[in-house]
Amino acid sequence: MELFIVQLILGLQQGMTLLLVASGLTLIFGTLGVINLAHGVMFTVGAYSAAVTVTETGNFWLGVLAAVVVAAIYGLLLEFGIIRWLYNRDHLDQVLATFGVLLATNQGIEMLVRNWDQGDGGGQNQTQFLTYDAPISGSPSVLPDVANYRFFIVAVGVGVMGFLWFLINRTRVGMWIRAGAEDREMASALGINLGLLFPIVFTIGAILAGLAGAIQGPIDNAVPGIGDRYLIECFVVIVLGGIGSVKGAVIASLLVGVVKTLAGTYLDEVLELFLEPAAAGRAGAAFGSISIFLLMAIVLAIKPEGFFGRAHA
Amino acid sequence: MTRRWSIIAIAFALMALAPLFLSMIDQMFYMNVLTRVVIIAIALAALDFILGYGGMVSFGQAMFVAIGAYVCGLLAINSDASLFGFIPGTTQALISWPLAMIVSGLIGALVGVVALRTRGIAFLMITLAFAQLAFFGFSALSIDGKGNQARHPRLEMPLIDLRNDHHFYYLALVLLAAVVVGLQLLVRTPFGRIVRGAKLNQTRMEALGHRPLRQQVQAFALAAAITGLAGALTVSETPFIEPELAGWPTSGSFLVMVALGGQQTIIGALFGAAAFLGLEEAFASRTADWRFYVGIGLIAFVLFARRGIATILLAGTSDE
Repeated sequence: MELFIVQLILGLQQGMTLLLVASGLTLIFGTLGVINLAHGVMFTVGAYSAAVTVTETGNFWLGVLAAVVVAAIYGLLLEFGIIRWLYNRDHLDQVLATFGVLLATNQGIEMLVRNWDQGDGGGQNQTQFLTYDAPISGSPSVLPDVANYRFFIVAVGVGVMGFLWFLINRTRVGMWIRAGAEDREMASALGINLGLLFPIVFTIGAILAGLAGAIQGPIDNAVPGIGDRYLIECFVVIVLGGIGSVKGAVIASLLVGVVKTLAGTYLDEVLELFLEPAAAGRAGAAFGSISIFLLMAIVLAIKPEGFFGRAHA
Repeated sequence: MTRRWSIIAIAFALMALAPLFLSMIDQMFYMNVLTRVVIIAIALAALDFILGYGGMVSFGQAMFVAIGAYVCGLLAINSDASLFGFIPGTTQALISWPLAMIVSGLIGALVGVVALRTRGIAFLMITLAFAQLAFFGFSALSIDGKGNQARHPRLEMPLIDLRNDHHFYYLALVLLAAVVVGLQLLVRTPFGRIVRGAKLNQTRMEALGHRPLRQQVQAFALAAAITGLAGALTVSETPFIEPELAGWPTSGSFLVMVALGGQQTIIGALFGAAAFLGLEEAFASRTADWRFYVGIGLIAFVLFARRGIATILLAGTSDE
């Protein structure tokens, strides 16, 4: 039972990180109508910005700030330089261009980190795996077996989501976002400046993903392409929750986080009854991931538009 | 239409002469690249059929390559025993290649039934998710009680020596030609027209009394089977089968190659594979950062060029 509670909390925490990435992505899908494979890149950018800043200054909070600022600037640049030319293109063009952004950015980060002086003069053989710690003390412990830092991530997630809810439902920009998601042409005809709205939405998404990368970094470390792992799970979340629905993303993220963690833990134990430990461990880890894709297939077979989606256009 | 067939004929004539050219300039090392171009072109032709003609942007085609490869690889590894205790293993390509196509096709049909309930962005993400499912499924396998990556014995075939680079290359080229000609003819049939019509306007197809979902699922399954053949051929080209065959970067690069070669042309598959793998070979040998330049090039291609190679060559021709 104790194991169950610990795993449940770990699952919720992973779901929370996922939600930070997925909520921005679903807003971008819903409002801009662009499929953005480069969204995971923002997570990676955030993680590396934080890692470099924390290493240079020793201050975690400065690292988080740097991640948010760099992600925001990079998001704005991408929107102006590339994304805005894709609004009226077909999905394949959007996939290809953002895939290009993904390749170039991931490799670009590697090139930058390689040339960054990590205290040994820089050079070719430097590691791409950057680690850094967060100053969240382990005592007093909220729950044994769960690092307090996990609760910190959950708290940040809840706070950010609260802010996002306020932004979307209680402000003028939020009204534009809701109108844009409902019907782009009609919103434009009613005088909403899409040329202003779209960069705002894209940048909000970039900031959320960058923030997620920065606060998840102490757990996952800054690793090449780390954000892309989250990107694919985000796709599952968005399809499950319904494209464009932040509410759906909240429920689906937490569900995916919990299902993945629990399936990974318990299938491992079940499999050990049949297989030798090494094989069971490998199979168990894979089943954690498999479970969420199966979950998605089952939900889609019953409800193709997801929990809160409108019928797919 | 004649121009289309002439371009197809010229392309295959050039591919048939390519090994001679390589032996003339004494660069037989590139036979590997040439063979990979042909094998990948088979998968791309199938993708172009469902994407270019059918409007199904599948981000999961690598899954079928992996399935085809795993069917052949697992059968070969268990050639002196049996697979899962009841399927006799074999290294005989005449048995395992068709089996690879059948298994891929059946799984393709299942994936199609679920994925085709959605359209557009959702379809793309769901096919990607199924490919990830396959990736993690293969990762969970224990082959020979060891890891999920396994070295397999070479496949064999009567009369043709699959270990011989030239034999294998020309066999693959013939299969590619069959796939290209077959698909090019298929798009003109009533079946092909329904698939094309569903891309243009689903509602209108229904108003005309068709229920294109069935043909779309069939088209998707057919493409999966052909892609499975490409996977089966891969087994003779690499000593390992590994989960990365189903990885999403591969599925992504397939889409890139189809776009580069020209969508809705079928033969563009060959141009796309040749151009992409050629460029990759050229860049990768010069800089470790080739992905950076490929990424920039891709963005530039989408923003400025917009038309693939075969689209330019075939401008003004029709499929009829």
